[in-house]
Amino acid sequence: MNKFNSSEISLSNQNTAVSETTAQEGDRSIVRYSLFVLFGIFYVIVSILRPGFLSQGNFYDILVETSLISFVAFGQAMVIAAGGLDLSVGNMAGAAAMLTCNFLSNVGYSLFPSLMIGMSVGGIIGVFNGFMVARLHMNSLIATLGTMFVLYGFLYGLTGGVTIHIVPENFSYLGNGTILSVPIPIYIMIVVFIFAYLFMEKTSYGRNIRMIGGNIEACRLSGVSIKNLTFMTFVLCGFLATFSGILLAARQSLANVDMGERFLIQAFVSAMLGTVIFNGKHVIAGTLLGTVFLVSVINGLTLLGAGPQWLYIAQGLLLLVAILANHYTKTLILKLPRQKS
Amino acid sequence: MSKQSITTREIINNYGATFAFIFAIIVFSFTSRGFFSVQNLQNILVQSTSLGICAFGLTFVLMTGEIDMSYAGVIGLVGTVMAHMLKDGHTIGVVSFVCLGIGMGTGIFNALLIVVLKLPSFLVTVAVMFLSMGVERVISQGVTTWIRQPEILAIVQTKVGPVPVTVIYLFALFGICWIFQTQTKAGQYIQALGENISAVREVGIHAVLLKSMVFVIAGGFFAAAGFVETLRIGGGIMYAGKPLMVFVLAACFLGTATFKAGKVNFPGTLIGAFFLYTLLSGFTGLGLKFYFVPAAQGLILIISVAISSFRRGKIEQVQF
Repeated sequence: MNKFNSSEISLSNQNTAVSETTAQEGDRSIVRYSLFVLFGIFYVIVSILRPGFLSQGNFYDILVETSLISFVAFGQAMVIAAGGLDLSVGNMAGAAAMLTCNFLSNVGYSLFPSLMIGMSVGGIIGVFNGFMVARLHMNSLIATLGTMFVLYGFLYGLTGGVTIHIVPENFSYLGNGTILSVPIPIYIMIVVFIFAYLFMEKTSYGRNIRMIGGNIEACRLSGVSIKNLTFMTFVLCGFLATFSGILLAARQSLANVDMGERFLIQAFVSAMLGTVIFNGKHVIAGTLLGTVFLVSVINGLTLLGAGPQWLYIAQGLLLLVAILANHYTKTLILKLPRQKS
Repeated sequence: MSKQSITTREIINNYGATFAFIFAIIVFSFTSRGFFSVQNLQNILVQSTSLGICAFGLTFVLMTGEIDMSYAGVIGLVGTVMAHMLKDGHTIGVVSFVCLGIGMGTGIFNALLIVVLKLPSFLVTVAVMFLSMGVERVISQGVTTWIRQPEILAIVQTKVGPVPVTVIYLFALFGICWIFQTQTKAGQYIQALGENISAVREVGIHAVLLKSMVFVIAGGFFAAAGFVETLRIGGGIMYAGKPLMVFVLAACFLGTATFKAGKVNFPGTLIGAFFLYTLLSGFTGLGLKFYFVPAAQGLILIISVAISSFRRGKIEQVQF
């Protein structure tokens, strides 16, 4: 009996050795499809309990909220793809919104220059972050944590911490207007999505960025300019984060100092889900799906009558699921020794 | 000529923060009002105590090549639990044991996730930080509980001559940590964990157990920092650890630019802690507004990390 068992075990060991790659693909798919199944079950339950979940109005609500988060999430996904993390995205979004509204309402510039100023701020802070990570070789977590605090103090110093309520009509039209009864932020999201997708999938820049995150040593040996590409991801992330901040300000018709802070964790969850969904390929498309998932969960829970504290817990749990799924796929499949963070 | 430039660079790398510290003291002594008064110096020393104790715990963890952000939650949790237990009439002995238990329990939890399950340390400990903040919020209900027994507050708030008693605690702990780290074998192995973990394994040390021990010890230090901070304030204020979050990191990384270039070390951490509160006190004396504090914290963190990392020559990646 014992002998039989041991021979079976050795046989199965051989089998795994031979068909290792297939088994790994299988494991990876389990993680991927379990996420889809999980969200599918959630959709069915919520739409049975609250039929309004599937109405057209709610559909647009989910998509508009998705569009607000998606820009930060696209940027964060690019940074994560290159093996970094940007903690200052929320404050960059807030800074852009605050400066745009400040120039519109208090200084009296017209719409276009104010938008340019708001968006360039994200680019400038992105350059600063990228410089710290790519040139000074700082750990991106600590570097951007520093940026986060600097920005927070800087914004308070600049504006005195007041909320700007009065914004011009044409600015709030950006967030609340509709073309063919589809809200404008959705159009902007589609355009940015197409550009980001083409950038990450169809250009050599995007491919090399994903390669840096996958295997930095291989990149170094094959002559990819790691520093410039890492730098570029941080600049793009800062630039994209401003879209979210400005559109949120336009939608709410007000701007305050800490309005962008919610983007940090939501974009991080979306980007982490995005890297898991398609096996680390098609990061941008995965991130868009991840954002839709996240927003639907928040929306569904709100419809079910959950209070704000449950929404925080749900987001925290999703974050944990995303990290665990990501970690599981990476360590189990690639069998890499874990490197220090 | 090239030799000259190299030595200058080495001096900046090794002692840059020390020079900056001396420079800051000289500048503030001229510009900042009442900087050299006994009262102000006592304040700087007392304020740096809880920061220093917490940073000693983090220094142990950073030596092993990991990071532990859970202090920002643990300090507040310990403070709230302490204030509530004292209010309910428990003795200080019981209360301090419970506090130490909370800290070390968090350390065991961290070690389980990071060392045994091999999850990334930054994300895990940030999650633990939020978790302990949540528990704190549930216990305190958002209300500050003050400690009303003067004999308990006296543990931290008395002075021996002109010297506050907390400073004695700080230096005693510093002495213990420093001697433990430099003179005992266990301390040497802890440093070796971060530099070459395979070598530690080859020597025959149980690396997983040693690394777990470091997290548990660090948890104990965080609890001690929370204990001192709570008695200094005189009550359990909600999220008391949050303002220390960046400071503790910055103190440790400033330490890497103080004595041993690029490596965390206890004397450096101690100087870093004093440096940070000297700067803060100087800024306050100059009459700057409250929002300069986070901005200065962020800048100091960035500069101190930049000093210790720009010679690395390689981009440091984050692993999830």
